[in-house]
Amino acid sequence: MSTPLIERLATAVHDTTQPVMDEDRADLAEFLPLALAHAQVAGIVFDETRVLALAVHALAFVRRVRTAEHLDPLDPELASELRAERIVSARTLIDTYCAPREFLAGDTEVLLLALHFEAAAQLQTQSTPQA
Amino acid sequence: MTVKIVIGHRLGKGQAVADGVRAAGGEPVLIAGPGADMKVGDVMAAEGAALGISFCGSGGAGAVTAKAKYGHDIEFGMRSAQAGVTAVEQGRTVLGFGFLDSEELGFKVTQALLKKLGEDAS
Repeated sequence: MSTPLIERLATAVHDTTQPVMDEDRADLAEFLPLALAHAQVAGIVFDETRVLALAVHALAFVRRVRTAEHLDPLDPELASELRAERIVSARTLIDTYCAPREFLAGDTEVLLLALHFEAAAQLQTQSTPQA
Repeated sequence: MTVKIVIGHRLGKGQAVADGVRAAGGEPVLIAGPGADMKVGDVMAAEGAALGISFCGSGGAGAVTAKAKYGHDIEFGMRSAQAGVTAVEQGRTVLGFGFLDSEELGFKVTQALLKKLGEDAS
């Protein structure tokens, strides 16, 4: 199972030491549509650059879930720079993916994903012509 | 000859890495502000830099963006200075790290780059 976005990602990291493997494709095929549906509900459009950045982040994320790896905590101030609803919705998205895998992702995962959505939202705002 | 190394950090940090680059004899170009990791390829092109170092949560976004836009040879998801040294030795031109703002990283990666450039020139 794959998608054009997953294949774009696979091409981009093909020559690295961590190419996209079959199990990555399977996990990404589940997570990325969830993430993009989540973005659509929030009214966020990822451009070609941002969606690839989201995909490579997702690749690392699904690998961490598979290996039950937790990231180190981030500066708590970071959360204060993001809107609360952005963090709540990122938590919902992550838990939706993680729950069937019996993995409870830490707040760092939530913040990192929320940052991707916030960056895309800000870029969208900047590129929207003002009336 | 000055060897420029561009540094972009998702959270607008990277000063320690820049200090390490300078200490090893390179010229750091530290991109200011949050989201700087996504600008590494653009700034490398503008500055004529030999290497880009991108920092974000998973260590991939900035590197993959630089690859997609400029065709750089990348390594991503790295978490140690030694991994960066190995990547430079392999000829990678953009390195993607997790959040690892350390002088040691900047110093060792710059040392490796200067050594490689010297070898390639001889």
